[in-house]
Amino acid sequence: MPAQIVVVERPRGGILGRLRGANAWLRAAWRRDALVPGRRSPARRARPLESAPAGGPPSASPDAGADDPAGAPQREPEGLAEIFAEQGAISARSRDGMLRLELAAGAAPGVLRRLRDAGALGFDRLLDLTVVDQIDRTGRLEVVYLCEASARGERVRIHVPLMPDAPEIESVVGLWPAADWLEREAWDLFGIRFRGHPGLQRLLLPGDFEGAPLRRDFVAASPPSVEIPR
Amino acid sequence: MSAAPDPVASRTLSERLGFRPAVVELGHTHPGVRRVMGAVGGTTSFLVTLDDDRIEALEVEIGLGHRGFEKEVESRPWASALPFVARLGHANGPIAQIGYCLALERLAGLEVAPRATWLRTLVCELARIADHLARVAALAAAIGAGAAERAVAQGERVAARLLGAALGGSPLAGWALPGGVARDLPGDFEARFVEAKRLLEATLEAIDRLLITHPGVLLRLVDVAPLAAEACLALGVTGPCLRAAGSARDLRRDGSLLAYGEVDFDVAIGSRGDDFDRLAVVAEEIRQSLGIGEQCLRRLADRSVGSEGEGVVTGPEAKASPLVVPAGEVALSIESSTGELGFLLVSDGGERPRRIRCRAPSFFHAQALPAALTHARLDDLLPTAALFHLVSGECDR
Repeated sequence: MPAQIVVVERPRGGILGRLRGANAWLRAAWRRDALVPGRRSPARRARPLESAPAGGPPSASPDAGADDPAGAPQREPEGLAEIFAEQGAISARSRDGMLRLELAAGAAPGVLRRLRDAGALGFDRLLDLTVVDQIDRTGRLEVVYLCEASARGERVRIHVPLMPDAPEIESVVGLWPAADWLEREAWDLFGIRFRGHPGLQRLLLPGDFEGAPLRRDFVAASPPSVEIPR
Repeated sequence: MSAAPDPVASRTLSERLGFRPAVVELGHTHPGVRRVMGAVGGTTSFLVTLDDDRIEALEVEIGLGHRGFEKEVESRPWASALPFVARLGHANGPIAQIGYCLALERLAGLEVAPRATWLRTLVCELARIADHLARVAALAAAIGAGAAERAVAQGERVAARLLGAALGGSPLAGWALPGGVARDLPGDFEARFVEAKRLLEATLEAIDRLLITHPGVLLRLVDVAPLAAEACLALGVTGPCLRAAGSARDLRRDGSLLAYGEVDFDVAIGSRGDDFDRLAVVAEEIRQSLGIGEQCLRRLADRSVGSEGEGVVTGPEAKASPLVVPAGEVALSIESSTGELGFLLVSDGGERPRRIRCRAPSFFHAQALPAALTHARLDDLLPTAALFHLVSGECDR
């Protein structure tokens, strides 16, 4: 059975926000309500969305539609294939059914922008940005973008391999503000420079730390001394 | 020629009073921060630039609790990441472990017995209740609502004990395992659930009476630190804080993980995305989670999802050799009590992972906090931080 959406009830009146500080009025209103036994608890229960007043809150919920696709849809969204083909991207489905793309570093900024702005197809959310060290296998550091089109729930994973010495790529903070700290973390732990980032500084590690500790050639100070049993 | 800006009016009150801008560091050892954030294991620090009592600029500092867990686990077998994963959250460690197991099972192609899925769903909801109550208790501490804090802290203890009873031990111990769970529910669990539910319903009434409808508390919450749904989505905010802004995004409803498709529950949303909505959504989610837990128990008791002991994977054969995972990648997200908790697992086809990446919801919440709090009052900082639930295990990893 599909879960129903309910809107939690706010303090009645709606003008309460403007009256912030009008303690006496609030107290009086509260007493009127509170001193009548049994009146308050039903009023505080969340009410189903259907009975929400017109002009109410659900306007801000673009993804509240009943036709929300559950899970990862297997069909290829139209229009995306063209974007990818133009840029010479390699696309495939990975084991989790998610669309996976591989892009050259030069093409990445343009494709990412087109993905975000592709109208109804638009991947308007950046869920995650991280790096996978494949230097010992392919000689590359892979930047991984996990994007979502919030209207459809479709997700795409974009892998951009970079050369490991002085790796550099265009920042996507301008496309998705959520990338700010994600790129700082990637700089911090993998040493990848994001061109155009507003403040590329270490995030998790102290400022005087040397090295990129999540690269596989970085040896942790002490090797694990105890094997944790399975 | 346009009029020159009035040199007096363009200055802030502090400047006109002759004060220099005040920069206050609220470190994690600050008594107020420690009382509020320490309750959920937070080591976050705040650097606040003030104009009178308004926050002009806020810098959230994370990283003090950085353990490098993603580095540590690269030299260990896949299942050895579970103790690290359990320490990502406060009371929601079991949710993180279950999420990690789900991702690993998809990557390794492991089958899970239906009963284990239902047990996991039950444990997720119990952990959600305990974690949400910790969040509300931190909020009550932050606004100095002593009676509420006492009531909610008691509820949190009840929920944590119930969770411990279901797991047969600490939430930090390994309960979820790749392929199933470590043990089934104890025989007296149903009675304990009924008893705890009665107490937790009283706790919910206390939240209602002492926080949600309390006039003094409303002054501290209504229209404080609003963050619209668009801003939440842009900054990566998920979970109750996003739903408070009116988006019905909930991976329990939208996704296909665990048994959520077969239970009946409501997704609570707010309208303004202020502190009041965050609290009201969290309180309603506790109520819904109790309902989901009850439905899970009913299904587990009538054995329609398998008889007792199915899905338990602690036999000697399970311990014989480390899990070998075929080469590939999986990205999977689960709705934790904080928000969308995701794992990206990359395997080379060996016994050890190439990369385990954790997408921690608290990390994004810490990033979004300045957007919510700029021009708010200094006293609104800690209540808002409590509601955003900055857990250092997640922020710092």
